[in-house]
Amino acid sequence: MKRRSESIRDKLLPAGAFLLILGIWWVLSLTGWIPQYMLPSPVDVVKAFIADFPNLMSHAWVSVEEALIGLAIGTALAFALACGMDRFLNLEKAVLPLLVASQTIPTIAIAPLLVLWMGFGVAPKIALVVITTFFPIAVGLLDGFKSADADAVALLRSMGAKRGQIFRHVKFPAALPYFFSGLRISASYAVVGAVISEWLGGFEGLGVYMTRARKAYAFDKMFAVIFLVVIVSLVLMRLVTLLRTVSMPWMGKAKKEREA
Amino acid sequence: MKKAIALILGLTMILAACGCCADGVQELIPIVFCLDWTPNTNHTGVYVAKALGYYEGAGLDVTIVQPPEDGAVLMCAAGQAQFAVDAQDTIAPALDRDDPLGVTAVAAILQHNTSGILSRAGDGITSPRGLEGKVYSTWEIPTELEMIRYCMEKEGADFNTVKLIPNNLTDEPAALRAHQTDAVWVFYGWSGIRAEVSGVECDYWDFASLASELDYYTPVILANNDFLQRDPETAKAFLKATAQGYAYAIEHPQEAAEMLIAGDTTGSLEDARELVMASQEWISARYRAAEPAWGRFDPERWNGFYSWLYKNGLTARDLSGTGFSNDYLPEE
Repeated sequence: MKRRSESIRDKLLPAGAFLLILGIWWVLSLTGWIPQYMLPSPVDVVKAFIADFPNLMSHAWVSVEEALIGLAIGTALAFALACGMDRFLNLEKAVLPLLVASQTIPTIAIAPLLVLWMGFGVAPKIALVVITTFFPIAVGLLDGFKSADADAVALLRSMGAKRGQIFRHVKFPAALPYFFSGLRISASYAVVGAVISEWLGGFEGLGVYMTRARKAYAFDKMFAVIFLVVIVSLVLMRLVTLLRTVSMPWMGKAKKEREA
Repeated sequence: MKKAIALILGLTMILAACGCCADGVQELIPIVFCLDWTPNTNHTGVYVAKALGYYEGAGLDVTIVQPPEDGAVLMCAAGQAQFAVDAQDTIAPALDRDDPLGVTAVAAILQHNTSGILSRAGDGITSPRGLEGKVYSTWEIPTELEMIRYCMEKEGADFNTVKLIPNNLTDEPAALRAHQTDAVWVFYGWSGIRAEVSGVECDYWDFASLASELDYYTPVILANNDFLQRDPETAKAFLKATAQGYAYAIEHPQEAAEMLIAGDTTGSLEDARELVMASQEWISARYRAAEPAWGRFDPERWNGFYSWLYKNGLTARDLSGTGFSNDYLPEE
């Protein structure tokens, strides 16, 4: 009983904070204290969202598609590389510093280059999403493999388990929570990555829509896109959490037992 | 004891020094001038006025800044900059609103629209008709595309046959040479001259000579409306000094170009000295063109373009008669 009221409170608090901020925002724009071009009123934003809904959706679909394909390729690559690095220590020594360094390259600088190499289609956008989503997953997985219980590995080995079996029964399950943490971060980057790459040349997508709105000084539309990007990213992150619960039911159970 | 005396003496000297400064030098009024893009020969007059002390002589301390992308109008409207560079076509959407952004064009940097379509020589894009079936790099601005459609239809050509690709080019002549595109919108004073300097054989046609209603003002100097209302004298002082800067640049293109290069804190011009010099020679003759004074708007020409926008459905309101003023320019 007590737990139930707690969970309701946990949901009410952020909702209340959100409504409070929305209220302050609304009052500020209603009184004209902040001009519309600096901060359009929430009502204007909602109106723009509704008025331009079909257009927004068709652009959003393009961005989401790029984000999902990029995320899938990024995940697959990260998984392959992390397994390789776990298997061959020399590979890890050689590649990991490069990986870390690659994350310090400003995306805004390489996006135009990608367009130059791959043209105006979806390829450079997907490539940019792959680059941004790849890293958190690869590093997460690598840490996860290392976190595997050394005693369990030793036990299996003493029982004559092969490398593949150890991987399947000890290392992989141990790495899953790390993998999903990485995937959650990557999912939140994916849509933003797609939008940034669309800024720099393209005909469709939320980034293109944003650029057009900016050039037309349509600030209500700008904010409508910002909210759409936030919503889509949150949905994507929620999906990752769901996937995690489905693929690791024991984690959910363990958590509940601990709480009880 | 000695220390105390030394301290008192020292303090007196510092105080004396301060007093002397306050008496001798007049307080300068800080002014922020926001460019539309990286420094180029459109901006030379401002750099000259700064280098030759025209601003300081007028009691102004001018800082030149670069905007976030497409942000010059907003910076000016928000009061972060008293003055900014933009153009008549691109400020139209900022004025075409229930609450127009608070900016007014107060000086025309160039008298005429010197932009047009650049293409490889030999491709036959010597007039709008030549664009049929060719690849055009577009910024996807409605006004831009409508102007091209308008010019093509004037010649009985079909705009729908043009293949549009996004324009993310920085060096247009090089992109033409590499066949990345067939045609691209350029400002002749920079990219057209760049083609000449780099020896890329190009064809070019411009909008102003095809249709007088497209001979709008680009670029222009904008001012913040609140600032204009609050302090018209400072605005006039700034424009007077700026006009002197442009007058000097008209008379002495080479020296003026040197001041632009020296004043450019981005350092991007130092590597393009030949281009800057050639561009300056070309553009210095066009700041004032055939007019008696620099900066003045011809209301008929300003309104002609804005009513063209309205007639072609590019603005929801007829903006004729709004957005510009000759009141802050020095008397002729």
